[in-house]
Amino acid sequence: MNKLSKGSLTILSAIIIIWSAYGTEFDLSKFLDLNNSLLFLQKKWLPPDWTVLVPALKAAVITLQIAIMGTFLAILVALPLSFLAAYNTSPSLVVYNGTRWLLNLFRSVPEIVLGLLLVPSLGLGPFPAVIAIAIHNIGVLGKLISELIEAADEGPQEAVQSVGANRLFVILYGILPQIVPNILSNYFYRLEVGVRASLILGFIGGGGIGNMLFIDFKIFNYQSVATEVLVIMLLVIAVDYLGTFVRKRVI
Amino acid sequence: MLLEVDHLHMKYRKALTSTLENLNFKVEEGEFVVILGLSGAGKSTLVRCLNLLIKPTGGVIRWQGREVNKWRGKALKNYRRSIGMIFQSFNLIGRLSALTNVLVGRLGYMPGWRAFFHWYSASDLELAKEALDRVGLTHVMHQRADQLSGGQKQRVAIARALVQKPMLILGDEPIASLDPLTSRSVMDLLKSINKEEHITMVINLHDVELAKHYATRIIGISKGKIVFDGLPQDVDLAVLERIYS
Repeated sequence: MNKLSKGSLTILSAIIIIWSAYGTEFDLSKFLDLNNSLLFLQKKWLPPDWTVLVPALKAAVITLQIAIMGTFLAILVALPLSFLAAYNTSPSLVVYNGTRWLLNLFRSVPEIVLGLLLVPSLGLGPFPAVIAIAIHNIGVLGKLISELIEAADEGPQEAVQSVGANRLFVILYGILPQIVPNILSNYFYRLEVGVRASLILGFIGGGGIGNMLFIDFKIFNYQSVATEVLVIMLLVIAVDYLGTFVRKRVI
Repeated sequence: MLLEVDHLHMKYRKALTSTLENLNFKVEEGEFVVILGLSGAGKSTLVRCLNLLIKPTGGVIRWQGREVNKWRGKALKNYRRSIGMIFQSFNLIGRLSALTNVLVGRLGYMPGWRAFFHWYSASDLELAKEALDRVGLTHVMHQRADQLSGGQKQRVAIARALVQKPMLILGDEPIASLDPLTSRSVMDLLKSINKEEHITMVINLHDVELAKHYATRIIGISKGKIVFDGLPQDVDLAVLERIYS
């Protein structure tokens, strides 16, 4: 890239950022009213209402279960699909393009839209949330894993081929062991994201602590909201630790 | 006659020139053939054509008198499993144990469900352990392949080839990533396998001294053409000029 285009790129970036600041009514002076939030927090949120702690913890477990079920179903479907969506393992160009298109479609629909679409047929509660997270993550994990497959070292694949093994075992021995640590790493990242997604799905009746938070917020029950927020923070941190722990162990 | 290469031709789809042009040679049982040439001369392509990892664009390859070019499916797999192959970068599966890597050499023989569940038969395990013993690596059997030294990795790869019960072992620059001392010991191992197990060798090398020391016959390749085919002692300056020009 030459100097001229570098300069124009800087100006272009600046324009885009200013344009976005304008569009979002970005105004630092508004922080002068930060006191209002603190007063609101102090007067309405504190002290937290600890009587809802036990139900909040129970709901948090459901939120975690939604994320676990959703991402587990997702990886179950995504793993085989990703081999069809990788150019080096796909049986044909039609299958390759078709699978990639399908994964793109799954990925491009946000979980909350999927949730809204599923409520009429699956009803309210955790189950449609699980399916919504599963569908979205089939798209995400399928794409990530297919890229890992495409980037896998060809050496072991060639070696397995040279001993007279068939295609399935070229994949199972020549590719899979190489990419397992990265698959798990991606999976736990998606589990973390899944927890956040299931909180949001709670807002549309998906159950769990997101649902509880939304209802208490709607009825101005801020002291309960305070307890629920603390439980959510605890949950997110716990899942983050679990992911880090497993990723370190596997690689 | 074990292997016969007849007017072999290879041109990659997007390449401007042919990688291999009109190669003719025969390999008898028990020979130790070294294919000598610069990198880029076509040696790697040649050995990969021999077990059809690369499909040649012209010519005929005969295995024990039978033409192999059009073999597909089961016939192709059976052909490949009777030929062991070792590589410059060893091509082991890093996260699996040395023993499992050797068992990969049995994949062409075992039923699919055994391979799928890594549930190997006692006889395959026995074979793999014997092969590791043959290459002197019994003590690292359960170590992960990516924790072994370069020399050990190539020995595991040789053991993987041995459990195939091959008639021929192909080598694509098997010592190019090893230090001189380790290179010698790996070549010594191949030589003793050639003599004691009567497995024919076709090995790519770029080092003249090693080639002359180990080969019973040398095929010199330059720019995809055979420029010499004869005994090691007949490789003189004039021949080297042709190979390395």
